[in-house]
Amino acid sequence: MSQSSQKIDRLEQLLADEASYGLDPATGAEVEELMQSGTGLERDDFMRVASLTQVGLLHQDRQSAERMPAELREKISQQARDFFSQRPTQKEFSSVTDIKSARKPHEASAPAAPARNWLNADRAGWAVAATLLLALFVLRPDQAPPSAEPSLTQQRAALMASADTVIAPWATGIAADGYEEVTGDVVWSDSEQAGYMRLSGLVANNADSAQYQLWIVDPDRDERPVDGGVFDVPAGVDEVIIPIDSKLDISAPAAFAITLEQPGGVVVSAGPLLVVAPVTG
Amino acid sequence: MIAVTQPYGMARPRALKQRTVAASREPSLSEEKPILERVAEGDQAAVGDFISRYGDLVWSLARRYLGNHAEAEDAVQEIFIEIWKNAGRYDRNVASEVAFISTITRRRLIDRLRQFGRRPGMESIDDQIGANQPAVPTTLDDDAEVAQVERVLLGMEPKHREILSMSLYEGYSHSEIASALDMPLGTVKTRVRRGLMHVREQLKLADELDGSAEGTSA
Repeated sequence: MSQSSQKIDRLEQLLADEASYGLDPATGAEVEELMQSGTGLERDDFMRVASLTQVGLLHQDRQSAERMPAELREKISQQARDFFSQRPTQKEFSSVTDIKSARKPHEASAPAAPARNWLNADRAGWAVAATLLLALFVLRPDQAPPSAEPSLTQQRAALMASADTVIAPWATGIAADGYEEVTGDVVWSDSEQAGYMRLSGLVANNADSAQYQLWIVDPDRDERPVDGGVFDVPAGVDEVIIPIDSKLDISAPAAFAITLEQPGGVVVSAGPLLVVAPVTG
Repeated sequence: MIAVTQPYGMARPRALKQRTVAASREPSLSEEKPILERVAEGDQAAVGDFISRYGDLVWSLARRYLGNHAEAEDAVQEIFIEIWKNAGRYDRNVASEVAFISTITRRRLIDRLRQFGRRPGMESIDDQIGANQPAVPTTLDDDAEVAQVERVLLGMEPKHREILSMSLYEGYSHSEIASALDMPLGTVKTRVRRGLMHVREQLKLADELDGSAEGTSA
C-alpha cells in the first residue's frame, strides 16, 4: 500500500469514527493534518451520511418515535420568539461598538490544545470555583463609559434598573495570559433572563477560524456551565456591548466566563478560561 | 470534543442532489420555499411551522440516542437554538432540510454523549405517553435520500445493520458495542466504516442514475 493510500485509509477510518462517536482533540488534530494532504476526501461526507442513516433507522423504527412533550415544544417556541426578536442585525452590532481608538488589529485564533480542562471538574467543581473566586479576588469597579449607541446601551441601562440585576466585573486578576487587560462587566437579571456583556481590551477574533463563547455558571441548575452564546469582537474597536444569549434558563448565576472556540461554538468547552466575572452577593 | 472545520458541513456543493419521491404532487406556495429559508428571513409563522414539522424528528433522535429524558430535553433546546442561528446558512442546492437538520442534531448529540456519557433513563409519564404516540414525521415519507438510505439498510446483512444501528442510532460507543457483541474493537470500527461507505456509495450511485435519467428525459 502506497503512502497516499495509507493516508486515505487512515483518514477514512478517522472520519467514520468522527461521524459515529466523535473524536478526541488529538485525533481531531490528526484529521486536520490529513485533510491538508490532498486526499480528495470531504470531511463532512461521513457525518452527513451518518446523519441520514440515523434518520433512516428512526424511520424504520417507527414504534420508538415520540412526540415532543408539549412543555418542551412551548419552551422551544418561546426561545425561538426570544431569539428572533432579539437577534441583532450586523448593522446593529457594528453600531454598538464604540470606536474610540484603533488598537493594533490582532486576530485571536482558537487554541490548539486546552490549557485547563475546566469543564471536567467534578460535580461540585463550579460551585467551589465560584466560591473561591469570590473569596480570592477583589472585583474591579465598573469604570468604562457606556457605549454611544442608544440601542443596546439603553437596553443595558434599563436592565440595570431591575431589582434583581447583578453586575459582575471581569476579574482581571484571574484572566489568562494575554487577557489581563480585558475590562468591563456583565449585567444580568434572573427575572428578565437577559443580560449584557461589556468588554474592552478583548483581542479581535477572525470569525472564520474562531469565535468567543460565553459560559454561565449556575450551580443551582447544573454542575455544567450553560452556553451563553458565541460572539465576535471586530478589530479596531475599544469597547463592545454584547447581548447574552443563554440557551437555558438561569436561576442564580455564580460566574460568567469566556472561552475561544471553533466557529459556531461548542456544547462543552475544553477551555481555557480567558476572562471570568464572578458574581458577588 | 469534536474538532470540525465546517460546523455543519454545508458550505460546499452537495455531492448528492436531493430528489423528491412525490414529484407528481403539486407543491403549495409554502412548499416552494423551504421552511428554513423562511425562518432565516425572520418569518415568525415559519418558525412555528418548522417546529411542527421537525420537532418530533429531533426529539425522537435525541431520545433514542441519549436515552435520558432530561438530557434529551436540554439537548433538543440547544439543537433548535443552533438551527435558528444557522438557518441563514441553509442552501437548498447544497442539502435537503432533513440532511441539514439531522447533521446539526447529530453533532450536538455526539458532543453531549462524549462529554457526559450515557445516563440511566428514567421513564416518566411523558415517556409512556410518547411511547403510545408514534410520531415519525410524515415529511420523511417524501424524502428521497432517507428512502434510499432505508433501501440500503434493508439490503444489508443483519449483523452489519445491527452495528450501524447501535452506533449511529442508539448512541453506543465502539467499545460498548464491542463488549455487547463480544467482538474486537477494531472489527466494530471497521464495520461501522464499511457500512457508512456502503451507504455513501449507494446514495451517490442513486444520484448519478437520477441525473442520467434527467439528462435522457431532457
